[in-house]
Amino acid sequence: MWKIIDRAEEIIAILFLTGTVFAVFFGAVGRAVGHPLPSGPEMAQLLLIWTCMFGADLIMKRGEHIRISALPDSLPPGGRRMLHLFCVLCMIPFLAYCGWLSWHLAMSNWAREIGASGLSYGWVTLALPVGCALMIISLLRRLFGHGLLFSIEPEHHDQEQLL
Amino acid sequence: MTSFLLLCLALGFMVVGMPVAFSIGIASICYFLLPGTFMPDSTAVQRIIAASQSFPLLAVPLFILVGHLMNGSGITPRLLTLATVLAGWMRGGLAQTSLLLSALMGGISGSAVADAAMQSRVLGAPMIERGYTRGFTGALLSIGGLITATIPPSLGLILYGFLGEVSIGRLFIAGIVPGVMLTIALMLATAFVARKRDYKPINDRLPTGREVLDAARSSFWAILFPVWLIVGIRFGIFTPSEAGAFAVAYAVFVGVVIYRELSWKNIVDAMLMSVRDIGMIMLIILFSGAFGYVITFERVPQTLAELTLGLFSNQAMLLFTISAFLLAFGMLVEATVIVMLLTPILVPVITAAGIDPVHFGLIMMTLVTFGGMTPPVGVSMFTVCGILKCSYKEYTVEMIPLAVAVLAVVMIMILFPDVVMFLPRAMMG
Repeated sequence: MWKIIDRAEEIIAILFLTGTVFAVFFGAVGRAVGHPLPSGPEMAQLLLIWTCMFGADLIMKRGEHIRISALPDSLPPGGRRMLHLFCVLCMIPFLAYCGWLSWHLAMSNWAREIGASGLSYGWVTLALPVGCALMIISLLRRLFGHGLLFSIEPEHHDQEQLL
Repeated sequence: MTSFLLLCLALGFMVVGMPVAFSIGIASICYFLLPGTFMPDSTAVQRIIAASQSFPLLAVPLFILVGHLMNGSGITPRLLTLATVLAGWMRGGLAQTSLLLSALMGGISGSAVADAAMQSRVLGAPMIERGYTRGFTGALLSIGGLITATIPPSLGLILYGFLGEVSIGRLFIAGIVPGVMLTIALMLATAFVARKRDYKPINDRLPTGREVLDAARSSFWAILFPVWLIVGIRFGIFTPSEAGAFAVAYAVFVGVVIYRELSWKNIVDAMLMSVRDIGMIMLIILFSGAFGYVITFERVPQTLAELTLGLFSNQAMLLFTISAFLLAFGMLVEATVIVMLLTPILVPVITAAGIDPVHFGLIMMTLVTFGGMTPPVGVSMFTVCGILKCSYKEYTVEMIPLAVAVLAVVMIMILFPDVVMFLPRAMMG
């Protein structure tokens, strides 16, 4: 069951990214051939925040969000558990509070339109509460599925980072 | 004062191992929850959302995707052939080849760690087989990534440009000369080590013109990429973000139609990896939206600028001091995090002192990216040493000549701003 949902989430995230690329691309091509599409950049930015939120949740699921692990790594497992407990106890209320605030913001934003495309700005705002809710679920799943020790940390340290 | 406590709170969360995005996010929401703050709490989430609604920011996800697509498109082995032909005859041929490959890869990829990891997998084993020590192999392949990160396109410079409101096009063009200088400096340092240890060349003679031409022809499409990127941005045909979208189309076209190595599965894999990278890096950028707002609201950059302008009368002295600080900080903290936290604070300070933010951007990005290759904390170092199974101690000892070369280049960049600035001035006025 979870497998299907996880796969679906990956596919949706990829579709959002594809949409972002196409929106920027056709916006630029349109301008170059003399038929500017003012809604292109707006669509791209709308799809971008959704891509980010889904991507952030995919990473949360893998416990790979960038962190500085020097101090926890130098502690015995018991100490590491305590630090992770502290982090998780801060992160869940933060996500819940952010999600709650932005949900209200989204609800009050429905009337506001984004420029040329006529879409509601609420669609942009809605990405944050959805992302927060997804991340809370993923964090709880990690907590119960992998234990406190690997709640915000992957089991294998071979991920690559940017820059 | 409040903002200083806020910064300490964010750093405190990071030290106990909280993911960086959340450290920044929680610290900034704490500011809004303080009884003395009269801004509504929802301003925090408004700023987080507003951070994503920026067209220049789109360059970040798009160039991440370009990097992953190029890796699957069959360009890498072709560039390796070209680098081998060009540098294989030198003493320490394989090492020189790897540096040249970094420079060539620099034109299509913007990530130091990705380059170091790729090279360790491709060149690591052959180098060790030929008698290079593990420490030197690791240090060389890891620091070579700095060249890739400096030559345009560069993810670090896109981030810096976005956060500091500096022209990304100018930053790209300004990266060309420092990138070439880093290549030359690192090749000289390698030649010195190779002479001392008698590392052999891999080709016994200079390449003929015909061999160079053949190798260049097969990697023609990869070499062409940075050229049209710069030309397009220079002549305003596209903005850096649009260049990102064109680059995605270009990578898919070259991979599918010309090299025929990019399968449907490769594309989906590249997109999935990109989505993950985007989520990781963009969540930090979004949550920093609220943080940056607080920093500006509390007038931190202005205060800091007044303070430093009183202390330093000389631009070079100011740059040296900030560089020393960035280098030390960079050794301890991940590059993305430093760029995110310090760019909005440092750029106004630098500008107030009369230093061009493009010039400073190159210095800052070189130093903090290099910080990821040095002990005690360095993502590049961890990645490369993990792949090559070399000890951090050996790595550290062997990186000294290469580190000297990098710092010498930074020194030249600080003392002679024109070295960095003449190309963007000449091309963009």
